[in-house]
Amino acid sequence: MAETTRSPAVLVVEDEVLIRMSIADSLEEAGFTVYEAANADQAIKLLEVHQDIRVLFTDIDMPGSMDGLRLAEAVRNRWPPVKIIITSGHVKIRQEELPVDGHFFAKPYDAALVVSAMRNLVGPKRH
Amino acid sequence: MLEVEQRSEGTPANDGSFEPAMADATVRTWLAISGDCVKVLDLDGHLLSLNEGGRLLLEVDEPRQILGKAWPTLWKDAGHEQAVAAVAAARAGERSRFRAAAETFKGTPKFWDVEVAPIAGADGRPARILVVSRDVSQERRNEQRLLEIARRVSENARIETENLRQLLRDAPSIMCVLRGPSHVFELLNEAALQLTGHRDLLGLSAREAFPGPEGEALSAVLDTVYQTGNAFTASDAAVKLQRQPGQAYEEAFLNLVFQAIRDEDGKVSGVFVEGTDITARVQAERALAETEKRLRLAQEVAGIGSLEVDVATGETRGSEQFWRIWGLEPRDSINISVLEGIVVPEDSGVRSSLETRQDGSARPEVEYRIRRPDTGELRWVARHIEFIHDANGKPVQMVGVMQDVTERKQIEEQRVLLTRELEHRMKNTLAMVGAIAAQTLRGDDMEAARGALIDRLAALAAANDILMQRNWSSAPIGAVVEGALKPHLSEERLRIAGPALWVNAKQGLALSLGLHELATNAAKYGALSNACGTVSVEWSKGLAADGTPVFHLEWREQGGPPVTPPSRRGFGSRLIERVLAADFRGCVRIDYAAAGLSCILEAPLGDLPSTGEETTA
Repeated sequence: MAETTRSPAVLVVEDEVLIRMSIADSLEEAGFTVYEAANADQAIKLLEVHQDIRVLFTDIDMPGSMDGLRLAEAVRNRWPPVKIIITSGHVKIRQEELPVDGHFFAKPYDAALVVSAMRNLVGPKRH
Repeated sequence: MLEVEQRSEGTPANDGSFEPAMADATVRTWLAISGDCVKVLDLDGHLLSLNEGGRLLLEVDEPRQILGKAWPTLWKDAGHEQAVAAVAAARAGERSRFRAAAETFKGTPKFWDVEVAPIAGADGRPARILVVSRDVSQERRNEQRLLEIARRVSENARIETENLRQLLRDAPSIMCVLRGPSHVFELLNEAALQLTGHRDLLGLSAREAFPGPEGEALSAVLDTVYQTGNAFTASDAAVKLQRQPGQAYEEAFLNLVFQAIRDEDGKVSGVFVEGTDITARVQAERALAETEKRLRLAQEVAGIGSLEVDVATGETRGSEQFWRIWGLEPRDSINISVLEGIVVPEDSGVRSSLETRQDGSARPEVEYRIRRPDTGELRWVARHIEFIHDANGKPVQMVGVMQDVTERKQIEEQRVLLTRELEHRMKNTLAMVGAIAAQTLRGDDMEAARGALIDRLAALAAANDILMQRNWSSAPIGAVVEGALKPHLSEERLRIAGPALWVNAKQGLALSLGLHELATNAAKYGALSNACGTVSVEWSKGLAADGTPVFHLEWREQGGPPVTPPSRRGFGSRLIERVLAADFRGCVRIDYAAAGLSCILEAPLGDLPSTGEETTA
């Protein structure tokens, strides 16, 4: 999790700690630097501090001032280069509700597929 | 005696009489022009002469046919006798007159007015007899027709009177006539006997017939009508009637009319009383009113309002409840456009419109929202209507019922929310299962991992069971602890203690999973792995250093094999430290003391549901 590593950093936003822990573990094993946030406010703070974050992976249904869609919108505006992947237990998410270039995973998702989607977006390249 | 005969013999006199010469000429002329039948008879009644008028009247072609015949023989029956008597009388010097029927020579029936008088001879005694017969057939016929008319009129009057009497007697209405200032019963019909108790009151005055206070009241009315001549009416007057003689009196209702009877001079001479029995109608009205009241009550209780809409005018009538539903003051009617304005615009396609009412296509059963004008509330109403059509099949009226179904709608909405909530929970649970599985199956020992997965899922299921009992809102800590440690509960060295406190759904699941990890670890390496170790799980309420109330839970192992800290932090310890801490918003500390492992959770008490009822999940 150290910022000094050159591995790409991702931000996982998920209020369910067990799920967050699980996907975080998978991403770390895949070589990503992982930051974790339980809600949108924490996520914004982490983005402000850690400039190396390349991907936002967020759940939609979260308590707090913003849900995942509004967080994605805020990130799209403030950190345009950050790629966005959205996940939700509600399958019925219309394409127009997703931010531009947004990717979507229905819950429960396969961590391996999320990892490969991340790799497609930002690497790291495996030898 | 005839004047002319006298004058022919006498001296002229200046008294207006005919001169003899003139008299003779006058008589001849008169005889010639007279329309009467003038005959001269001898004293035995034989016909000596006949004037021209007589010949025509008697329809005699030749005077010879009749001259010399006895005049009375020309008559028959009563006429004959009268003629004989008249001749005899004339012979005796008497004038006579009779009227009788006789046919002419040609058989034409005629009626005659006959005057018979003696004609005096020179000696002054009757010498001849003069008969003047006037044909009065027409007169007679007129008379007889008049008589017939009079007879018929009188007969008709008699029949009419009898009919009226009968009508009066048999009329279903009570009728009686009272005469004079003391109101003497002059006439009573059959129906009136019900009121008098089948007594014959004819000849009695009203006060004599009914001596009590009722009679006095009746007499007072009669007095007023008699004195003023004004009619008096009483509607729905309650009376007692005896329907049949000997029967009990029944309560009955009459519409009464008292009317003055006037004599030819217009003076009041009596009072006509008529009473219509409206008991059946009143009873029907009462029964109907009762039924309506019951229906209305039922509707009120069910909160149902009824409505009627005139399709052409849009005039809408409704029951009290109807106005209440619409949040309007009770009134007779309102134009439907006002109600249409109360329906929210989004539902204007659901309610009826002028067009759908006029062509009868308005949907019979609909639900729509209204914004009540009195409270501003948004309410759901359901209304059911049917159309009434005219003879041409055109809708003329819309009738139906209406009900406020807001509460039912809210329940429906809650059910939809609940279903969504359930779906969400299920997704969440599956996600947790996925996470647990992913973490558990990470190692190489698949056999061990499979067992561990099943145990972890069992711990999750146990917490789930407890939460489901309380609609996923909260769970008692004791039950969650026991559920998580179920496989070890038979062990006497497991001690569980703490006050009645509640955790929310998330906390319950985390606590269950965390305790399961601790127990599994203890059974493998800790106090539950040998024969004498003990484990205590205790929780309590307390105060933190800064004085805020805290919840404290402690897992403590004793008497187990010496503890060595793990070389690697596995899923179990991470789950305890991170998940438990996060879901209780507190801190968790695992202490691998050599004497025994301990795990302490400390969290703000305020984050625990204060009662078992609150939904804080």
